[in-house]
Amino acid sequence: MDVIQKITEIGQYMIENWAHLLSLTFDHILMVLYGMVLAAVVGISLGIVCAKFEKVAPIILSIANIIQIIPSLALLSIIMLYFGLGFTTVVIGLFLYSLLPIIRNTYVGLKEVDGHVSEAGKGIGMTPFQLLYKIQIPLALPFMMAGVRIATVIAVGVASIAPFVGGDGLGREIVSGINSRNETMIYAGAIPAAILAVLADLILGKLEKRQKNKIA
Amino acid sequence: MIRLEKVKKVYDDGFQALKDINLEFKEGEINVLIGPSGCGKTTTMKLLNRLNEPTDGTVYINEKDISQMDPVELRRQTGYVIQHIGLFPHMSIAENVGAVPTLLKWDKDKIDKRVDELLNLVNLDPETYKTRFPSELSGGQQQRIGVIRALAAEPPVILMDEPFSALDPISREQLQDELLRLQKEINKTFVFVTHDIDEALKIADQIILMQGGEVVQKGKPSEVLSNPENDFVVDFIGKHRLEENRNSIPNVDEVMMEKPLTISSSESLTNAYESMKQHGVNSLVVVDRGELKGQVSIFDVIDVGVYENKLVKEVLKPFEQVVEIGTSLKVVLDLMEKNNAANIPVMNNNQFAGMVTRGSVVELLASVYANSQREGA
Ligand SMILES: Nc1ncnc2c1ncn2[C@@H]1O[C@H](COP(=O)(O)OP(=O)(O)OP(=O)(O)O)[C@@H](O)[C@H]1O
Ligand SMILES: [Mg+2]
Repeated sequence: MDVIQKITEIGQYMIENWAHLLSLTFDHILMVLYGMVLAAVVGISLGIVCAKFEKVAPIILSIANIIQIIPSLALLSIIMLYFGLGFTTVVIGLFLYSLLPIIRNTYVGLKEVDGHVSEAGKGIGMTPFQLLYKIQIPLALPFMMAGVRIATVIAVGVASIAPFVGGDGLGREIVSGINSRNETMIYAGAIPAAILAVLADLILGKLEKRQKNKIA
Repeated sequence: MIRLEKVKKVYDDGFQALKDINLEFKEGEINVLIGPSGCGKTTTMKLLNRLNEPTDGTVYINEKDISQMDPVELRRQTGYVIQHIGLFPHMSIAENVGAVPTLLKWDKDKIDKRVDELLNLVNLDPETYKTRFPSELSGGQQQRIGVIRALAAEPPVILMDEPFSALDPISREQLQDELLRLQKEINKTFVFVTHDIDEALKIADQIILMQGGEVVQKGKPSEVLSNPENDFVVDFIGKHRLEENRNSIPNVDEVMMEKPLTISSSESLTNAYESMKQHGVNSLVVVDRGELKGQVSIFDVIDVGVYENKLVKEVLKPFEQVVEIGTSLKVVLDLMEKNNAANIPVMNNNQFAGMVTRGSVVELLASVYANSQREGA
C-alpha cells in the first residue's frame, strides 16, 4: 500500500514539474555530450598513438588509469580550483573520467585487427596512414564504440554530482531533495538519471552491434 | 628480371631463415618456390615487395636495387596474393578487388569494368558477388578473390603465396590453366609458392626447391625431373613421378638446342665459312630477325667456292620439315628417320625457337640413362 502511494506521489510530482525536470535532463545530457565528444576525440587519438608506438602505451594507459582511480568528487573539486564553479569544470571532469575506457578500447581494438589483413593492406601498397584509416580503424570501430558506450554510462552517473561544483543537471534535483529532506524530489532526480544511463547503454550498444555485424 | 644476390635473412629473434640465396626470375616466366613447411618460401617472397628487408645481400628488379625504391610505389607495382588470403572483411568484394586501382586513383567506371572482367575470369558472376562481403563467400571463393585482387592493376610482377591451396582439385586445375593462359597472353613475371609438386611441375618455367633456408636445386621442371640433385629432391618429388618421367616420351622443347649457330641471309659466304671453321660445325641455320630461311652447309659453300663473292641467300637450302614447339619427340624422330634429316627446326609462332639434332637426342638419352643409374644405386 505504502509503495503504491509513494509511486503515485512521485509520478504526480514529476508531472507537475515536468518542464523543470526536462530542462535539468537537457542540461545533464549536454554536459555528458560535451565531455564525451572531447573524450572521444582525445581518447581515440591517444589510443592510436598507443597502438602505433608500443613504448608509450604503458605510460599513457597508466596516466589514464590514475585519473580513473581518483574519486569523482575529489577530481571535480580539484578541477574546480582551476576552472571555478560551473559547466566547464563538470565537462572537463567528465572528459578526464572517460578517457581510460576509450583509450584502452581503441588500443585493444587496433591490436586485435587480424595481422594478415594488415599485411595484405601493406602488401598492396597502402601508406601507413591509408592502412590506418582504410583498414585498421574501420575494423577496430566496434571496440572503440564499446569504449564510448562504457564511458557514457559512467559519465551519466558522475554528472549527477555536478551541483557540488556549480554545475546543473538532474543532480540539482537530487541535492535539493537531500537538503530539504524531500524523498520525492530525490526520486524525481534519480529516476530520469537512471533512465538516461540505461538508454545510452541501449542505443550505443545497438550501434556497436550493427557495426560489428557489418564486419563479421 | 628479378635477381637476388647473396641474400641472408635473420629475424629479430635471431632465427636465420635464409642463408645465402642467389636467384634469378626471368621476365615473363612462372617461377615456383617449393619446399617443406618453414623452409623460407614466404620469407623469400616477401623480400621482393619489401615486406621483409634482407639482413644481408641485395634484391634487384631490372637491375635496380629495390632497397633504394619507395616501398609503397614498389608494392603498387607488385601484385601480392598472401598465404592467408587477407581479404578486407569490411569491404565488399568489388571494393576488395578494386583496392589497388582505387589506390592508383583510376576513375570509377574503369575500376567497375575491371572488377567485372576479373570476376568473370575466375567464374564468379559479378552481379551475384560484387556486393557481397568476404564472410559471405566460401574459402575457395575467397581465395579466388585474393588472386584477382593481385591482378587488378596489371602489375608487371605478381607474387602468389599458395594461392590455390583452398580449392578443390577441379577449380584448382582450372585456375592453373587460367594462369598459364594469362602468362602466355600478358607476359608477366610470376613468383609462385606451393606445397604441391604436381602443381609446380605443371606450371613452372623454373622450379626452385628449398630446404632449411637454402636453395637445393633450381631449373626447368624437366631438368629437375631428369636430374634430381640429391636424395632430398628425389624424396620430395617422389619416386613414382621420376619413374613416370623416365618412361614418358619428352617433347621437343626438352630436346632441342635453344641456341644453335645462326647467320643472316645477307652475310657473305666467306663469313659463313669462317664462322663454321671457328666453331667447328658443318652447317649454320639461316635466320633473319627470327624468321627461318633455311640452312647453309659446308659442302654448299665448298661447291660454290669459299672465296667467290657470293651471299648466303644464294646458296641456302630451305628446310623440308619444321615442327611446332610442344611436338612429341616421337613425331620428330619419325620425321628424321623418314626424311633422313640430320636436324629439324622447332618453331614457336612462326619464329625460330631451336633445333633438334641427332646430337641433342643423344644428349637427352645420356641424361636419362645417367639418372636411372643414380637412382638404382
Ligand atoms: N617474423 C618472424 N620472426 C621469426 N621467425 C620467423 C618469422 N617469420 C618466419 N619465421 C621463421 O622463418 C622460417 C621460414 O618461414 P617462412 O614463413 O618463410 O616458411 P615457408 O617456407 O613459407 O613455410 P610454409 O610452407 O609453412 O608457409 C620458419 O622457421 C619460421 O618459423
Ligand atoms: Mg609460407
